[in-house]
Amino acid sequence: MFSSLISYTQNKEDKWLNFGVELNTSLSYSGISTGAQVNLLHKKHSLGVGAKITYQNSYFPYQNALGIVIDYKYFLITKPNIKAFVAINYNNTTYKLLSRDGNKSNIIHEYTYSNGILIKVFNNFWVGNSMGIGAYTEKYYDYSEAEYGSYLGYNVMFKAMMSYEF
Amino acid sequence: MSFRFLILALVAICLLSCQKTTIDPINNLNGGVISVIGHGGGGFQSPLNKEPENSLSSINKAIEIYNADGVEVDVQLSKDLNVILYHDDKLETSTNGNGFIYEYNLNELRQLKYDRDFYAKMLLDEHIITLETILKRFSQRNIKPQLHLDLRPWLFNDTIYNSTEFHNIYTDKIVETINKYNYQNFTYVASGDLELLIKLNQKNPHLKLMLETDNVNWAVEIINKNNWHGIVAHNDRITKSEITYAHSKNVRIALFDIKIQSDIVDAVNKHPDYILTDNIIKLHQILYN
Repeated sequence: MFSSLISYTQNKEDKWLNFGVELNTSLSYSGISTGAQVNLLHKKHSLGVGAKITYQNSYFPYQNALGIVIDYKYFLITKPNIKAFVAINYNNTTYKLLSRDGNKSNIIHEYTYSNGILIKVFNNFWVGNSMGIGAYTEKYYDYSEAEYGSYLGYNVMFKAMMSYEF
Repeated sequence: MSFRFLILALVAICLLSCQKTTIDPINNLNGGVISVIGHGGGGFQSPLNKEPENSLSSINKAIEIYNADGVEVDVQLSKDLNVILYHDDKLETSTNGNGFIYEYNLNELRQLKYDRDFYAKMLLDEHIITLETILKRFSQRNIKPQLHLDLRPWLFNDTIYNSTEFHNIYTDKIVETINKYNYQNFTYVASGDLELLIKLNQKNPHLKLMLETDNVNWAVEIINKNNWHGIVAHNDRITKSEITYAHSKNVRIALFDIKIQSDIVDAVNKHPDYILTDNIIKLHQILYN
């Protein structure tokens, strides 16, 4: 699985708030996604907001579906070359269901709690991964019944990331 | 340097994600419409397709979320002669049970849980269901989904029945269940066994019977002689000209084993009447984008 994360960090202890950028690839209920997000870093906290696109080579159905990502991390360990964190992640995926009856959009909401690590590669550039569990809800339009419905299910998420802190 | 890498990576992903496909206008016996049928429900289970085939969640997903025209399911008989939806020969390949469907009563089968992979084992609670379960649901819908049944007549206890006896019971039970919900006009039954199809035809002439074969010329004659519905064929083993020939004889064609985009485009361009696919959304995208 192609995975990437870039973050430019500039660990200036005197700054109250630092910024970082992150690229990640994840596998979860909505499939394989690639996301980019901006992280706000304060002490042991990181709040990231970004966008994602589900990607497939040919099999997975939700190709090119877009969504947003909100990702909170709390760093349990912050050593010079390694960080360990727990994270709460929300993301959604909106996909248009094309059919001869119409083209309404369905949406998948995913919520996960995960654990992960980041390892410093050089300067302020980190790579890492995380694994988590959670739930998803898929809200959809049922054409033949002409009504909206939803499913709730368990979810797992595997994520690989690269980040850079300014 | 890292920013350049980032931009290059994003461009590469976008280019890979934007494959174009072209299809011709459809010319078939279904008024230019290809019916989209979910194979085993929402498609066969895989790391990216989590619901087990023939499970209730997979079938519901195909019809309710993906808006498929119907589903294809596999039917076997339990020891107490209930019509069960299950694909594999042995229970251990997809569930936490062992042995064959015909060795267990319905109550015992209902306890078995699908557990083929990590996701099914840990995060799903899907159990074996009956044909009646989905007929109850389908018969209450405004637009009735097509129900394509794939028969498994070789799975029976040969110490109790001989083949002929079992085939009689098997076809009786299938027809009885379909008749109970008055679903014969929406039910398609596929088998490569001619005797079985003849029995079904005798028991309910309204069923749409499909002969499963790759030999189109032979099948067209038999189908016309018996006034059956069509042929079910493997996508890789039938050509567009064979399908055109079948259509010229008023014989419909359903294609199966269609998973990835290249399979879908290939199948669509042969102009079949039904496509049994593992990727309903992709097929819809290609047909209606």
